[in-house]
Amino acid sequence: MFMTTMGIAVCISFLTGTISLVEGLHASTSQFSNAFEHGLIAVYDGNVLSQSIIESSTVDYINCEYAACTVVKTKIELGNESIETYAISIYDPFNLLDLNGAELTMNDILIGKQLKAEMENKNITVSDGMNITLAKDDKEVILQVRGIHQNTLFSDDWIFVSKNVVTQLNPQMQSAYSFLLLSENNIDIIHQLEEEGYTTQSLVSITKFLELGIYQIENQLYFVVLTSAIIIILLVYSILNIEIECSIADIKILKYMGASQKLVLSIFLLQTVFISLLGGVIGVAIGFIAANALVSFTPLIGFHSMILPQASISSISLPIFVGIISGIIGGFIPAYKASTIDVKAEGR
Amino acid sequence: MLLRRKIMIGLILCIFMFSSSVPILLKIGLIPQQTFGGEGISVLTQADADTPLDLMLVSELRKQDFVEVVSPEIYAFSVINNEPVMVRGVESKPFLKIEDAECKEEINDKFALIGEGLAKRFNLGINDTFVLTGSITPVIMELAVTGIYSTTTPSNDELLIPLQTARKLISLGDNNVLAIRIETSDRNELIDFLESGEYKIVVGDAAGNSISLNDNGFEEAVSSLGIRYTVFGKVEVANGSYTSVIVQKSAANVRVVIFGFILLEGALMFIGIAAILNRAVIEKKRDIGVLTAIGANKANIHFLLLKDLLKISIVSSIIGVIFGYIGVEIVKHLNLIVILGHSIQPVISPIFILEILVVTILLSCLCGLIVNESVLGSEPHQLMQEIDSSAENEISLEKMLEGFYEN
Repeated sequence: MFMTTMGIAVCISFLTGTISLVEGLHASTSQFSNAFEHGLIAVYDGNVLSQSIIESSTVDYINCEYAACTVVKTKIELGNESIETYAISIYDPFNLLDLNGAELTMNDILIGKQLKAEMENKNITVSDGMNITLAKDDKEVILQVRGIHQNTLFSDDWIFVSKNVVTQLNPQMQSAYSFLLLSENNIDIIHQLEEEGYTTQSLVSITKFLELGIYQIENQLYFVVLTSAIIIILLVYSILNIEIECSIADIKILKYMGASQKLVLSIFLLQTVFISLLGGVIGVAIGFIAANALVSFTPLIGFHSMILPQASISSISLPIFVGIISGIIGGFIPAYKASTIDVKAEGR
Repeated sequence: MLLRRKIMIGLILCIFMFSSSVPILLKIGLIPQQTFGGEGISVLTQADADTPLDLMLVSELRKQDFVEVVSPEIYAFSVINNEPVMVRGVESKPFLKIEDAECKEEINDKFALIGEGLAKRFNLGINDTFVLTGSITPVIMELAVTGIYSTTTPSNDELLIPLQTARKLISLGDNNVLAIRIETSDRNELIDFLESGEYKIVVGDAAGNSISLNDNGFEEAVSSLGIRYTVFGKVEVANGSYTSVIVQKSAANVRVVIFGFILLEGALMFIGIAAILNRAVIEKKRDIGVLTAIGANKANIHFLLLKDLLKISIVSSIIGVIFGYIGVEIVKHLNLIVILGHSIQPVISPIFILEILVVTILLSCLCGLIVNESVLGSEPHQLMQEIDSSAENEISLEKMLEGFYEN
């Protein structure tokens, strides 16, 4: 019985060890991620900023500081040539973006430095006061350059214009915005907007990249754990099968003494459940020890990490559950077979 | 045959599990190395935040005879459609050459090229637009796909943008880059050149080894400690030094978990095979008892068992590895596994197949013989009494005796 219990314990320790390592990876990733700023959160409709429409009525019930931006894809007409760009107008009532005058009056335009370089490559000298024609479909607006924008938040080949200009180019945006920018601290509002179907995206992505990337790894690792669980069920079944088959002599004695099939079955089922439960508990302990030992000793072979294997409901309950289920299956089949032995006929 | 053939099912399962999961796990662990390095490529990265790499070094390197291709690069880890995407700022021509990649579309100065794998996953085509945000500095922009390139390397799942645009995403100074990948005919000559030029730089190779030139590694240690103990306050993400450490530490964490999985999987396979063979030999205690009673000695029984173990383990290993190979191929062709934005292309190498075969055969023979040795310690009459054989077993015993007398 000792060997059987230890055999089950070793199988179960695999599940506990691997699950606690994956959960340790999750926890350390989450800790890293939380230690970093995520910056502003962009909220928009669909997948593309220039096609997103957020009605101004949505903005009215947002009870936090925000900036609202309207973007339109447009062309700068340069005689025979044209340059594709994006025109953006910003409404920043709480000075969240620290724009320093990028909110423009009616016919002003600020040009990004990359766009300026692009225009100069086409032999067009950009200077303050020069007229520029923006066109979208059959609509045209003539504007006057007021300077180069230094804003780091938006692309350097975009242009800053007033809301009025965006509306002239795309009348749909009259009482709407393309996207909102909120502080990352407004978690409840961001979740509410997500529930309403809006897309949210942090303006600083590295921590999200790592978080999502490592969660992708976790999913694959859980897949490996689950397929291994099937093998473990078979192994535990096999181990308990040997235990019950070794007890066939005891079953015969019980039957000689007049024990019913039900009684024999229940005694051996109880025994297998007890063994698998005991093996499960010992296995969980061995699993945590093994996982911690692995992490502690990996620096010896050149792997330095910050993972701490995590104990959780799933890393404890799942292995024990797998152990008991396979124990019941592994115990029931041979015990049932043995309990149906006709000892009287054998005696004759 | 002394042992029952049905034990092969258990052995096949154990070998299948090991041979299908280990190539995948190994490939997961190799992704960071292949992404930032590449076969036969030397990678130059900055030793610390104070000494960034610049395009002057790129020009100097391009003048050297031992250098074939120089690709200055900027890595901006971003998120598109709520999936992690590796955005690489590059000069398009050297990058496509170093990656042996092809792009059918004409490449202009404002390119946004996506790898074929990424294009398929996101269902993006030429002129389709997407939102791109900053990596370590807050930025938001909308880009349109200008071309699709294809390669067999992990870069097939990346987005390529001009160096200038990538600098904006990570707030890097004009003319600076994060890494320079070099295809060289003589790596030693490259290192000599960098050492003599007193460049404070780290040189990495395809195997993941790196040499730090003209640096004492102090800053990495300080940043590492900073990350470890920064639990009560937010770290400014714009601090490039800390960001580089977080990437390194995350990759190290993944490597440790993968190593742990492979070790535990190996242990499980070992225990599984041992348990299955233990059961198989114990089941045959009575038959072994009969053979001993009619005069078979230990060597005879070991020989009979070894013959069975060899047959069973060879057949099981071959079938298990074939199933494992099929499993890995399915994963590969359906792009089922995507890690850190890169789809995994696991490969079962012939050496790996050979290793599995040898290990399984040795393990099976060893486990079987050890159990048999302990069984043979009992007297024949004890062995015959212990286990109640079924009618099926009696038939197999008869066949087995025939085989024994033939030998």
